Amino acid sequence: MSRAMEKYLREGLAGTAFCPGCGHGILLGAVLRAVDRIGVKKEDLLFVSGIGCAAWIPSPNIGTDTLHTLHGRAVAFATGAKLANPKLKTIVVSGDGDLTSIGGNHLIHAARRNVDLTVICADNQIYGMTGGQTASTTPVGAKSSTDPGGNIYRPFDLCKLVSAAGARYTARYPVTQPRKLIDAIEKALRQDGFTFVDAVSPCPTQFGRRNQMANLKKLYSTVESLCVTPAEAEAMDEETRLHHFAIGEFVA
Amino acid sequence: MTDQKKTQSNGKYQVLIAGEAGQGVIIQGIILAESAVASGAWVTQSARYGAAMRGGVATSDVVISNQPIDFPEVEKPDYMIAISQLTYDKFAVGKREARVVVYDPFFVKPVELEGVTQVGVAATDTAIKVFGGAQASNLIMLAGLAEVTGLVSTKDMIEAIDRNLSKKFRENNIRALEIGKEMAQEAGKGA
Amino acid sequence: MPPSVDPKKPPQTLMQGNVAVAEAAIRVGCRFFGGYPITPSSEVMMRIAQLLRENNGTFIQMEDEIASICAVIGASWSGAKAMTATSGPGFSLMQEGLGYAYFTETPLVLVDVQRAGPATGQATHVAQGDVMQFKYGSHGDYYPIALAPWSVQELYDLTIRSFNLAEKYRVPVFLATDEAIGHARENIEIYEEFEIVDRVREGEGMPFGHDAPDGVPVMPAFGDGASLMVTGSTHNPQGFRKVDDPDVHNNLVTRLMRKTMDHVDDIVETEEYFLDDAEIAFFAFGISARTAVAAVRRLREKGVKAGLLRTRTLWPFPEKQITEVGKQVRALIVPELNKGMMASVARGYSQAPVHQINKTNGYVLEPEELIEYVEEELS
Repeated sequence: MSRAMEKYLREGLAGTAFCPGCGHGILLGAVLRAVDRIGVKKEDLLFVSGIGCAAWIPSPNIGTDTLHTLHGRAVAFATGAKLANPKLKTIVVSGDGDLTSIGGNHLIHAARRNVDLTVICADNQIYGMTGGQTASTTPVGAKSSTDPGGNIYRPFDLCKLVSAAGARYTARYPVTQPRKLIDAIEKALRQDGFTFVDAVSPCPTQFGRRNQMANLKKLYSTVESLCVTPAEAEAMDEETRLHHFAIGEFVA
Repeated sequence: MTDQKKTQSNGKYQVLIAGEAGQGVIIQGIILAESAVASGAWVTQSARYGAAMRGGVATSDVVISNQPIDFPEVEKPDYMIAISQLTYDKFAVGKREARVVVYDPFFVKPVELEGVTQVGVAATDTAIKVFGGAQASNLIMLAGLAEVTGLVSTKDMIEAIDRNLSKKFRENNIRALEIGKEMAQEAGKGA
Repeated sequence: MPPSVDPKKPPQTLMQGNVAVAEAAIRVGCRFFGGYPITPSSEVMMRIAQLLRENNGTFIQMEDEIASICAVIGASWSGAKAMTATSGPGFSLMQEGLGYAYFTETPLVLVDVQRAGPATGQATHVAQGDVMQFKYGSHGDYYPIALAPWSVQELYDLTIRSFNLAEKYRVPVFLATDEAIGHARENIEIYEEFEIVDRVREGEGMPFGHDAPDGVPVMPAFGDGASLMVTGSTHNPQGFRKVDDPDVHNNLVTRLMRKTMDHVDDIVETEEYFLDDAEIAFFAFGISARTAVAAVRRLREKGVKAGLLRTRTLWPFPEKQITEVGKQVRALIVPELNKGMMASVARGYSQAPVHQINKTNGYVLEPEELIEYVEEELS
């Protein structure tokens, strides 16, 4: 990370807990760059997260107010904090399992209410911290510690889900395209109301190792090779589509 | 009739209003309780009912006292309003505790109960005839009870109506009180 | 705090218990309510929804009770006095968030209007079955505060006190009421002048640590520029996660419990009725104490030397008071609307044998049931 973003880091940090090659460090950098562009005072920023690797992106790394909550509940906590003090620019950063499985109900209801929050989903398609179990975002056929023979259930299309629930802005970009990702987060932050960014952030330790992508170059180039436009995705049959990442803006 | 009026020496009166859910049992209890508060008494009002909005036994307890009330529910009613056969049979006949039972003959066919003053107030019929709907029957029944027992005055009841019910229906509500009072007086003459 | 009520001058307002909670909350400064509808507590939410709109506060009906308690915690950290109200099934769902609130020292008030359980049970019927859930509902060691009103007036009084204790000790406080009192209407004095305690937002020290082993740390709000790190993981006084340090964990758990346990005399309130020369005594709370005081007066009329220790605080448990009464009487009788939860705790402190009278049919205990027990078992 360049020195320019150091002003947002918390004093006294001894480094992050992320594994080598984890996408979450890139995502942290992207979030801070986007935040820097919107020019909100540091004391008016609140980062809220749930439980899991992604929840540790803001807490404790970002030196603003941070609220590290319960598994799945970040959006509900954020709703209360934001409504009680509307001047807080409130940003939720948490994982796919946290936000969309155990926390799925809170996510869609916050979108429905159009609460003025930006939710950034660090989407690694697996439960990382607890040991590589299948998530609601794991692709069909991908191997996990609970599906060693490959996952048989369809994953959520998170952007479609949250768009349908009423979000004002939704977008998906991988950490392999950091400029577009930063632009999308910035746009989400500038848009009033509920906004959502699905940030594809690969997990080499729990996902890569089990799916013949322990090699970081292979992992990241695979993610990049699976990115298609929303139009291309819509032209695919369901099975093929579910193995790709439709990237771009869905509600803008 | 006068011998049924507030003659108890301990200054505590227990009123049971019993019917079915949706009949206005609770609003009767609230208006009676508000009237009693307006009269300067200690009052508790509580209700027992099931989860359904309609049907099933619903009762409303009102305790009126000149002292702070220890136990807030009705243990043995002195007075009872019965607006369903089921609750009349269960409480007025079965438990036979109330000394005065005011009932609505639209719902209740009374039986002879020795030592119990029973007053029929045709509240439902009259409400439909005069006001075009059964809703006013609640106040007609209450006014009947008030007339027979002397528990609360018409003035107190009007104050309770002003505190709890829409101003839009004030005139009709006061008229309902008058009707209930007259009907109880008539029934008393016959008794 | 509550005005002394002249028995000759009944207050001129009739109010439902649940409504009294909302009226008190708004007057003590509650400006956030997050909740989910549940019988028999919903009137609290319906009334405060209106009052918050009129008083520049925030009301939100969340998607479930889990979200409700989380929103309340978030709002509290944004500086608002915040509350929720629920009943058994919702209280069960809130336990995860309550553990979080306790561990992060978040002031809030939760009103539990107890109904007959377990599970859905009987939604419109009274019970006192959450006694243990107040104390042990979430996982891990903690010692919450639970107050137990016995009248509509006390729902008003103790709602105020709940907020004051929550702010003073930075803890979630439970208002442990029940369907019978929550739904009852009684005379009530709505007084406007009373002591209001507010959390200390500015001052020396770390937000999650204190030099005193039972101390309450300073609590800045989000937006105050304190760069807060709030976490439900084990944390050091500054707020940094310390999930592998045995001393940090032990010190934190111990200090949090001592915040309550070392201030029992400030928190616990009991009342005595006819205890001076009592040979038998009831020990009761909430609606069952109303039953007991009526029973005691009638037993006295019959010449039985009965008394009542009535507790307004469920937790911390009135250990000292029970011990004292237990030395004096030949029997301590605990009437309650569960299968003996309070009685089982009282046995640990009472020298006198503890009898229990339990009712779990969805109705309150009547005074004659208590009198009958005394006459049959203790004469």
